[in-house]
Amino acid sequence: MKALAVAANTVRETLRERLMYNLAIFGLILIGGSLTISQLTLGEQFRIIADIGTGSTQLFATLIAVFLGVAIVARELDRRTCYAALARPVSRGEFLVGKYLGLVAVLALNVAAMAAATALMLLVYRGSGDAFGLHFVAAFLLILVQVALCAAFAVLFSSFSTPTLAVILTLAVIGIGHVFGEVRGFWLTSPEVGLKSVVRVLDFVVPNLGLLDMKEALTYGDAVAPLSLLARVGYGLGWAGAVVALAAVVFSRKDVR
Amino acid sequence: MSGATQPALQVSGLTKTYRVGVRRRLVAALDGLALEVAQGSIYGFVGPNGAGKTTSIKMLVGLIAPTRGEARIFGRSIRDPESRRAVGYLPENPSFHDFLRPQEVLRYLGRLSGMSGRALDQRADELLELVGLGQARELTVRKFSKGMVQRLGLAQALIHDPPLLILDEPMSGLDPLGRKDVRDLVVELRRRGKTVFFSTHILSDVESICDRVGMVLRGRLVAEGPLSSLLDGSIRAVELRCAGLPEAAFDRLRAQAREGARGPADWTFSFADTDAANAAAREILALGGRVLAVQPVRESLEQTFVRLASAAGSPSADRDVA
Repeated sequence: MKALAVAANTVRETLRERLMYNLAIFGLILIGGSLTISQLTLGEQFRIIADIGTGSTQLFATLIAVFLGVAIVARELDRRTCYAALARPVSRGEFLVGKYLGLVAVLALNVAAMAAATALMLLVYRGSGDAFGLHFVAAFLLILVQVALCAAFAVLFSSFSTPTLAVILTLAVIGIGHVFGEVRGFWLTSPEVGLKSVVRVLDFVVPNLGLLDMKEALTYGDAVAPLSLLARVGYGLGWAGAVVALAAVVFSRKDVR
Repeated sequence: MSGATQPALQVSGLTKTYRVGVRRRLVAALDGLALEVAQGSIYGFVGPNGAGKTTSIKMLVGLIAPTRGEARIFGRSIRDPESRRAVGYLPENPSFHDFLRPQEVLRYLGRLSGMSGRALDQRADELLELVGLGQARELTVRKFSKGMVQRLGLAQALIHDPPLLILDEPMSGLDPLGRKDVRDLVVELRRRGKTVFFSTHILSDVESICDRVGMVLRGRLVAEGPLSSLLDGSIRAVELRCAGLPEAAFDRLRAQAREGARGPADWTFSFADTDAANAAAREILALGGRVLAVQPVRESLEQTFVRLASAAGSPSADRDVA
């Protein structure tokens, strides 16, 4: 309940962020322009529109998650706005979870707006809603899970380092998570790749962001198994929950000086 | 311990150390603070800037973890977040989300104290009137003056009607009228049975309203007790004010006194003791003059503080205490 009060306040706070609007508007313009850009190709227009829609959503929502995630608690400490809140019967964990949930709510709004823009472009191109199956939902839902996980890392890193370092660390984890998702299968099975134990450790400590990417299902119209989607959502939320729990432990040990 | 006799605040051996610099040198911000605050009293926690007042208060409200020691609020350890249900805290130079209106600030913080619904809205309305922000409901905090933010800080500390108020420099940033309002509010809160623990470096605020005082210097409590026991009660001088004397009498009286000054309508002399003042008063009457006032001068809290600070070798004793 208290975490929800913090979350509601965080939504109001985050909705005033100019950075978020700049990034979101840029993303929406790109999606809006996809109809024109797609005319540069022959016969692949649907795929181009879908690619630009999902790609822009992923890129700009990730940037919003990283930059706002890093600032969301650090700014409360910086501006001392959290003093009166933390001096109440509220645990640090509740406070941090509330901040995180508020940020995720705003990210969901962003992803929903960009998904709606993509849907509109596809509708204009096709003239019918036949593209909006489970694969459409899966592509955008997993983008949301992915950016929620990015935000969790941003909150974790900002709880013990400077904002600049936290941004660098979060982007590094995102980069490794995507690359590792692509190559882990090869590294683990190929006899040419040594140090398999290192790869297995990495497999354990870095989230496989490749699992949270079903953009191609929309682009190529692949069928999506509901259980596979649920498992991927569970994987992403499990990771996000663990990272936020770790951030809460770090934050609860921090002196608010 | 029964509820009636249980102290509102009980602190024993509270210590906070930090590691600073490249060599990770250990520095004590607070060293073994021990004190008790009785229910229904006003406790003044005084000391120069950097003495450890804010560090102590932040530990009491859970913003900083103690390195050693313990404190209890109505018997509950400060390490338990539930202990803060009984506390209303005003931070030093409070800050709130500047896009919110005052009532929204109070609603948000009230919810964090477990309040909700109409009771919360009603309480927020009452408090805005009480602290003089009734006319500022439609303004966002961004447009508030420093004094208005301080008043909002007091309102949020009171929102859940806590039995103990911990106020860090509550008079800071207020004009003389605002300071009087806060002093009156603190006294009114005590009348309603609340306990008030407040820090300040403005000693006149403490002198006028506190039942008990703790003086902290360089992280250590150097004096603690009822105000009367801290002040040196001995008479430092006797001040005599008189009028209606011929001009030649001034030099005669000045020779007997430590100091003397001519005012527009009277003369004031300061004597070493009551005997000297009595002798001078008799002489004034014999010369046909009028004795307007005879006032013994005792040590003020400020003088006590400076004396203790000098004894402790605090370089900031003279500079910071107003």
